Parts: sequence; C-alpha cells; structure tokens
Amino acid sequence: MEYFALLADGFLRIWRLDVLLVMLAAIPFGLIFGIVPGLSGLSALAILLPFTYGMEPLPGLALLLAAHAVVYTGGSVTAIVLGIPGSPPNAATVLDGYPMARNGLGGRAIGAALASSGLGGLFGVLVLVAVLPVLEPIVLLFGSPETFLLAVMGITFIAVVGEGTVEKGLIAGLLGIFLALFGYQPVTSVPRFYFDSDYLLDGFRIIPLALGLFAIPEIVGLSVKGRSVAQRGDAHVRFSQVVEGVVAVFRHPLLFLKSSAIGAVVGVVPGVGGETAPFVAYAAAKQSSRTPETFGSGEIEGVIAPESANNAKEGGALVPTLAFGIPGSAGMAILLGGFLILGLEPGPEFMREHMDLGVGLAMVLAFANVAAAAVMILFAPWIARITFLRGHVLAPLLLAVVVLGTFASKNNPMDVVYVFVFGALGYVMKILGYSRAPLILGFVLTGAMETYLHISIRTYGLFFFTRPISLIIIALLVLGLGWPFFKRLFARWRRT
Amino acid sequence: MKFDRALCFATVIVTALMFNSSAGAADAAEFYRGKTLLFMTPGSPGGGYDTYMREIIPLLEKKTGVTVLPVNEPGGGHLLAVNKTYAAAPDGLTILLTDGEASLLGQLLDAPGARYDLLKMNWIGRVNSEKRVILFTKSSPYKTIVEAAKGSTPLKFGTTGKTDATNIGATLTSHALGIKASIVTGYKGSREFVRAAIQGEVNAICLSESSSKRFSKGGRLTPVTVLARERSELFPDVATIFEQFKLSDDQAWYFDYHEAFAEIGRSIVSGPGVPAERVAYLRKVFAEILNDAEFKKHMAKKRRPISYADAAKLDKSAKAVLGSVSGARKKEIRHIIMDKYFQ
Repeated sequence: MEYFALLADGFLRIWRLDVLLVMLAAIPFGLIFGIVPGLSGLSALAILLPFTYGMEPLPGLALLLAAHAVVYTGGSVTAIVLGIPGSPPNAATVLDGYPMARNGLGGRAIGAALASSGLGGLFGVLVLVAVLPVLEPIVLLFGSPETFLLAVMGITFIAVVGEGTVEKGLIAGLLGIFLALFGYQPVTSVPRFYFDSDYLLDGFRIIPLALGLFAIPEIVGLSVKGRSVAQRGDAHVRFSQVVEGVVAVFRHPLLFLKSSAIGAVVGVVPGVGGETAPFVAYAAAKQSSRTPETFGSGEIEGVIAPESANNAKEGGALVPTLAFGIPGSAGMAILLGGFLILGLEPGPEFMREHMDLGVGLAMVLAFANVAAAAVMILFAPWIARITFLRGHVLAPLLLAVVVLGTFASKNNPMDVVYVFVFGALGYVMKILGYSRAPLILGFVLTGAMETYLHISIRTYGLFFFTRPISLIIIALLVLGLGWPFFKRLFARWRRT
Repeated sequence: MKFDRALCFATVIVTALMFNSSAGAADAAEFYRGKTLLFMTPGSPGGGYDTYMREIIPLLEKKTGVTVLPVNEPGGGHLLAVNKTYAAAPDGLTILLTDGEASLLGQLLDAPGARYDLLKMNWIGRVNSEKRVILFTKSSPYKTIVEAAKGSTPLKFGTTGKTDATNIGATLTSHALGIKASIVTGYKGSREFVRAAIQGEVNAICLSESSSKRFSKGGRLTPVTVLARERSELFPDVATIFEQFKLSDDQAWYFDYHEAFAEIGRSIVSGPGVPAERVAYLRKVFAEILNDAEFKKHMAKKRRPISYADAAKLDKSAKAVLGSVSGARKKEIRHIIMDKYFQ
C-alpha cells in the first residue's frame, strides 16, 4: 500500500513546470539525435551532461533520461525510410522495415515501429516499477556466468537474423567476431592487431561500422540507379497507413509482450550490450513465426519485435543502474555520471533514501516514450514521403549527413575513413548476398562473451554454468535454437 | 670597492632575471588569452576524471581568458590519451588530466601501444590522490589481512585490468606478504566488482579510500588494511599495513613503491617541449585553482576531494617509480603484476 502511495507521488512529481519544460526540450533533441545517423544517444547525453551542473536532481536527470529514452524511437524511422540505422541498436529494424519502405509501405512500418517503441518503453517502465522495491535481489540473480550465457544466446542467433542462407549468416557473424578482436583486451591488458596505430588501439568503433555497412551500399545504390527508395505505392502517404501500422502492434500482442520482455531482461543484465536486445527479439520472432521464410522481405513482425525490445531495455537498464550504480547500457553509464554530478550515489542506500526519485525517473521514462511516439506518429506521413524522393536527390544529402554524423560522434576524421572502408565491405556483402546484421551482432557480443567467459571460469571453475539461472538460460537457448525441430516433432507426434 | 661593484652587478643581474621572468609570465598570460586549449581526460563523460575536468574548466577559463575544449579520450587502458598528449604540438595548448598509475605502469612495463615518456613530459599539478584500502567480503575465508597472510585458501581479488590501480595494489600486497591469491580481471569498473564481491564471485578488492568509504557502508565489505605508512583520514580505525605486520626492508619496499605510484594520482600534465614560461604559467594558474578554499569545499561536497601537489613533488614520484628500479627489479614487478596471479 505504501508503495502505491509512492508511485502516486512519483507520478505527481513529474507534473512540475521545470520538469515538464526540460522534458519537452529533451524529447525533440533526443529524436533528432536518433534520426541523424551517427549522432547516437551517447552523443546526446554527452552534450546534455554539462547542462545538469547546478540543476535540481529530478529536472537534471529528467533532461538526460528523456533525451536518451527517445533516441531509438527516432532511429527506427531512419532505419525504415533510408535503410540506415539511426543509431546502432536500430540495425535490426532495417531487416524488415526497409523492405517495407521499398514496397511502398513506409507509413505502415513507421506506424508499427513508433507504436512498438512507445509501448515497449512503457513495458520497460512497468518492469522497473514492479521490481523497484526488490531491485537488489533481481540484479544479484545475474552474475558473470549468466551474462556470458546471455551473450552466447545472442550470438547463436547470427544464423537466424540474416536474410540469406544459414552458412552466409554464420560467415558474416564470424567476420563480426573477428573485427571485434581488434584493439585493447581488458582481461589481458594487451592490444591485439592494432598495427601500432592509435586509432586501432581501442579497436573498431560501432558507429563507423554500422553506418559503413548499411549506409554506403544504399547511397551507392540510390546514386547509381537514381530511383527512389520506394519502388511502388503512392507518394502521397496517408495517415490511415500509419494508423494501420499502429493497429498491427495490437494485433500481435504476444509478439509485442515477448519482445518487450526480452528487451527488459537484456537491459537488466549489465554487460550484454544494448545492441543485443533488438536482434535477440527479432530472431525469437522469426523462430516462432509460422512463416519465418518471409522475414527479411518486409514482414511487419520483423519491425514490431526489435523496436519493442529496443525501448523496453532502457527500463530494464535502469534496474542495475539504480540498484548498484552499475550501468545497464552505455547510455546508462553517462546517466550515472549525471547522478554523481547532482550529488547522488546510486546503490542500495540510494534506493532506501530516494525511492521517490526512482519512481519519478520511471515516470519520466514513461512520459518521454509516449510523447515521442505520439509526436512522431503525427509527422509520420510526411517522413514516409522521403522514400519517394528520387535517388540522385537523396544520395548526396545522405552522404553529407552520414559523413558529418560519423565525424561528430567522436570528432575523429579516421572514423570517416573507416565508414568508407566498411562501406566497401558492406557493398561487397550486399552484392554477394551476405546479410550485414549478423556481422553487427557478432561484433557487439564478442567482447562481453570473451570477458565474462574468462571471469566465469576464474571465479566458478569449468562448471560455472550449473547455477540455477544459468541452467534456465541454457534451457531457453536450446528451446530457441531447436524450436523449428521441436515444432516438426510435435506436429509428427500429433499426426501419429 | 670591489664588493660594491660585485653587489651592483649582482643587483643588475637579479633585477634583469626578475624582469625577464615576470615578462615571461606576462608573455605566457598574453599567449593564452583568447586561445583554445584542449583539456583531455582518459575518462568517459560523467566519470570521475570527467567531473574533475569539467569542474576545473570554468575557473581555468576565468583565470586565463582561454577557451577550453574538453576532450574525453578513453580507450587503450587509458594509454590513448597519454599518447595523444605526448604527440601534441609543443605549444602548451594541450593538457591532460592523467590516470597516473596506469600511465606510469604503461611506461614501466613497456606496454604495447604506450608511446610516451613521462619523464620528458611537464607535470603541472596534482588534482587528487588517494590511499588504497583492501576490503574483504563476507564470503572471504579470512577476517583480517594477517589471517590471509598465514592462510592456505587463496583469496580471490576482483580488478578491472592488469594495468589498473586496483590490480597493482592487490598483486604487490599479495607478493610482499606471501598471500595465496588469484586475480580476476575484466570487470568494467569498481562498481561491477563490488557487485561481484557481494555475489561472492570474488572475496577481496583494493580500492581508493573514498570508494572504500562508499562501498563499505552497510557492512557487506570490510576494510582490513590501508596500503600506506599513515592511516587514512576516512578510516581512522583501520590499521595500516605497516602497523599490522613487522615488515622486512624488502617487504616494505613494495608498499613504499606502491605508495609512490599512488602519489601521482590524478595529475595534470602537458607534452614535452612546451616553452618553460608557459609551463610555469599553467603551474601557477592550477596551483591557484586547486588551492582555492571555496573550490576545495565545493569538490569535497561532491565527494571529489582535491589533494594538490606541485610539479616538483610529482616529478620526484615519477622518477621514484620509473628511474629508481633496476632492470632485474623491473622484470620482477612485471612478473608480479602481469603474470604471477593469473595462472
């Protein structure tokens, strides 16, 4: 009862003029950083962080959290309309969102993506609110072995997320794993394959890699062919098409709930990486679909799954951030800096003393997700029209945005060079029919897998996987991978 | 007569030198006014290094008229930022708030990717340095560090990386006291291995005194010793390693050596070859900022204490760590820190 009173109090807390004003300023800021490729949520937070100096805790944290929460909502639109992930976690949305846009269904895809983002964000908040009183035991369920096994679970999906053959998916995934091996290795404190170059000392960066792989081949395609992204359909996108996309989410409630739950759980486990959740949700959706073969050619379920997971994971990521001050995602690491700047120290004591602030933050997350989705839905018909712009108009604009976005992410000209290096790789992969999504998945998970395998063996020995939660993850892994086989077996059993 | 002439000559020389030096300082002040200065840190936005840097920037801009561009350059185990500062143009317009322990260790161990010589760089001033504290968890097989030194069950220390301060303290202590230890590296930061410690993955950690204070609240982590000759102000009841053991000269050497590492702490440094008057000017400005009572109070409130030390002291500590060890000793330290506890 007392907790419900706290929830009500937290809900009322955000209806303060200063909190509302900072949220209203932060939401468009975060959306723009999501829409423009290269300008990730991390850049948005890094820019906003100095503004929190001298602010009160709730408005200061609301500024950061609201901007961060909506970045992926903005990024989903770019992934669908241009086939370029607005931010790296939107890469999974490209797989089916972009083919939908090419089929003239951009409005529908955007509607589905925005509704899933907004509702997925709300789901993440519900998870957070539900576990706020028991944050610590929840976080303590997941140790290094569980983090390692979740990373393994993610990496096993490299064969599933591709649109080509399983072999090609595996080859692309292995290439991603190989690229992730470059640079400084935290366990041994030794840099690998760095060729005496300062740039490679820290390995390849995700932004040039994701943008190069996805953006450059599309830009080349648009300029060579000169045709628009949408190859059929009416350039006058109607609002009803967007609403159809929104309604589609409600027509797939189980898919939405499953994907959001995956997002929230991946968010709770620090170390797995924010980019993983949408891929795992996408792969799970494909595995359980009656028509998995249609994924990759413009299936709306392939948009709903990654986008629900993408925003739901931020609610989950707040769990370890508040419970132990361990950031659940890269964005949460900067948010944690915001806490410290504002004189707050997340951790067990923090939750005992500032539970009201925790609830207030959950409410900020909920408001930002819903408001951003609503605003974007209103503009969606106009945004979808971009897909009908002619290629020779769109390509140079895109190239300029990609180059500037990449440079601005770290102010490093070498990043721009690598966008073109990875662009060439992406182009060759596209021509040869290799999916680029498994490469990204292999790349983002390798570090976590390597590090937590090392820690697990050092701390628990070779049988580290026998802890209860580890066994559950292994069971889910076997079930997920063997789902098509089990389905066939079950069908045969019923026939006989 | 002769004396008068000599006195007169000396007066002229001293006046000329004074004039020259004040003219140099004035020139340096004039040089910085209106320029853009890159202030680098190996920390990510929002972290400890970043907070120190961003709190200093407004004061630095106000005092010098310079426009400061903050640059977060994490990566390469904090070596990347030192490399970049070392290779920057020698104009005094690039400074670094460095991770002293990681930078010193990188050079001492000839770490791959370390392309700098701290002995040629210009120390400007120390922002903060803290004593190291060893903490045990409830799951630790020992209650005290003395028991651990006698015991046969290995202690499991959690650290972020081999060249990190948390590892230097854990390995040198284990070696000096003959503790059977096993080090687990790879945790992303102190908070993550504190979580691992509470979960029982590891049962000992070595942290700075302020972090130890934070994480020992609630009693799940117990501070067992301070790795210094004097007690920590934050833990007046915790005995130092020198109080708990009758250390031989050789054993004491490891702890003194470790303290010299920690002395550098978070310090500001510029690359080599910067004109002396600009270095002197920056040292003067930072001394004023970091000794300002109001600023110190403000930072203490933010749990980011200032413990200023001047360039001469930092230079001495750097020489003690890098210049005072023989080739054989260096090899031994490398073995202790990088290999001995990782089998």
